[in-house]
Amino acid sequence: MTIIETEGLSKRYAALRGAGTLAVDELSVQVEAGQVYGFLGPNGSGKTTTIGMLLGIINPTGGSFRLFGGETPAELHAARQRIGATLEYPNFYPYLSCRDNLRVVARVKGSDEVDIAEVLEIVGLTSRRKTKFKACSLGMKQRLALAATMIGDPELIILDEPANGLDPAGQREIRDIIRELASRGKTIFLSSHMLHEVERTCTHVAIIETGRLVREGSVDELTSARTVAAVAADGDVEALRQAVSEFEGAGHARVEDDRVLVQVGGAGLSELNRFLAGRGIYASHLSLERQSLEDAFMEITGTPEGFGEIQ
Amino acid sequence: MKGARAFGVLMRNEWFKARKRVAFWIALGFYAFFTLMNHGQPFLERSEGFRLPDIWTAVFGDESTMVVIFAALTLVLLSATEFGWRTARQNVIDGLSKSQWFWGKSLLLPVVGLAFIGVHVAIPTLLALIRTDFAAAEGPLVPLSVFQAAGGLGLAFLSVAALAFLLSLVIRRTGAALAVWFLWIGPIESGMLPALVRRFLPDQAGWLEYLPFTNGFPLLEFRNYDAPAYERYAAAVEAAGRTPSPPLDLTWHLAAAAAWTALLVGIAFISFRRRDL
Repeated sequence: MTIIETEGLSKRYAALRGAGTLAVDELSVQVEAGQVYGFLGPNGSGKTTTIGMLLGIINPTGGSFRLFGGETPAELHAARQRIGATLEYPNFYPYLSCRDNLRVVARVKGSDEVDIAEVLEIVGLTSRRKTKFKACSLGMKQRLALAATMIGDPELIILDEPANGLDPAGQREIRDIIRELASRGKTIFLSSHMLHEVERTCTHVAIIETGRLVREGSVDELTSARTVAAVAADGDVEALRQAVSEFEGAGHARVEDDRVLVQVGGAGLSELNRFLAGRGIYASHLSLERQSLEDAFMEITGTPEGFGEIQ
Repeated sequence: MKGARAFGVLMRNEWFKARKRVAFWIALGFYAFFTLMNHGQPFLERSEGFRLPDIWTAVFGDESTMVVIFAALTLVLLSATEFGWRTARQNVIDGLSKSQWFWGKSLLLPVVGLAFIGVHVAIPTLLALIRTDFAAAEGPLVPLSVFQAAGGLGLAFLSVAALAFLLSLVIRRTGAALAVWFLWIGPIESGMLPALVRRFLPDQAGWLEYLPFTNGFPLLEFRNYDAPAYERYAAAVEAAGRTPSPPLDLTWHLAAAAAWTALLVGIAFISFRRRDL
């Protein structure tokens, strides 16, 4: 069953002068039931705007989308009752306690008090249930937001940067909770910069850049299609990189740990070895390595290495 | 979530959020203190008119402007902060439709109005009860006109508060919304606009008395609902050697207040539906 389906979904923010900003440009993606779907893209690529349109807080300016197969306003409203979501930062009433904030959410979702105790337990906030939101640490706020998404046992959970601003321990806690949810068969739509985590947690990913979909598929497809040759040789590594990049069908060659990594397309290592030998370069190491999702992401989006946002 | 259930949930949630908010109780408490101070002196001095049913002229009069201002101010405080905290956005994410959020929030108009008008009426009434000599009282202590005056005060509040509500939802910042609202009810509606109209469109000046804030003043006066109160007022003015203003027909003022409320809430609704959160 298709849970989320967008067709040419677009959003243009109006400006006083000029044509405005096209934040999402004819985006078409599909999320099936049970998938843990990573929604990736650099800052400002349109991830939050897309999620905002799905959740009904941002009006699309083009295209359409369906949630649980529903498309009309009434169907979408009914579908949203089956979704638990958090967008950007945790947004709660600062003067209310954690538990009271969840009470507000539970009433909207038609859920009961039992749910509140259960989700507080899952995210480890039971002992802090009476703490006012304004007194919570960022980690507690993120966990409270996650708890809120679980109220009412929704079928689809949408998380936008759920581990933003957390330390490694906090990130791990959030990752464990997401895995727990995934193991319960929930469909999860996760927007994140934490590519290592996405690779470990997600089954499918979509990568968007400047509002456009640039790649969509399973994590396995995306990473195995990006097998690279690792080449090492005695002598000047820059000269090696230059030679490798001239190999027919080679992609962008880069230096990493005194080795040159390059996509070799359909050619095998023996052809590359023969090519280098013809140039008087004798490889001391040749192997095929599967690219990480982070490498694939950087290559697809053209994000420079060492891109600060990638954690 | 539909129909009566939705209404119940929205009402409970808004009341829950308001009653847990210290700022709401501070504003209400401050107004209660202000009202107590206002009526404290005549109560302690055992003034002539400080008893039932004479008290109603003091309850519904010029001072009622303060209850309208306090209540509208509190309404802005309870509405505009939902945007600063981004909780309006989160409420919609959690499953309310934008329409439901809007109508839920608009329930604050009557709720806040009732709370403040309740305090405004209850305090002097309770004090006056203590000073009332029930054996000597003539006529009903709480005539029907009291309820009419309370309704008129409520309607005057709604039309002015609807403007504050609209500004809260359009500007989405508490301080700026309050500043624009005060600018409107003060310098603009009571100063600049009448001056400009009288200068450039003198034959159109008649409708100035139907502007949202100005239109409310006749609705606040008890003598406009109660014939004996008007007679007492006329006698007092004549005794001072002046001519009393004729009794007012409030029909058009009541209609204008209802129309302003509907129009301003309607604009707020359309604006809220169209804009992103």
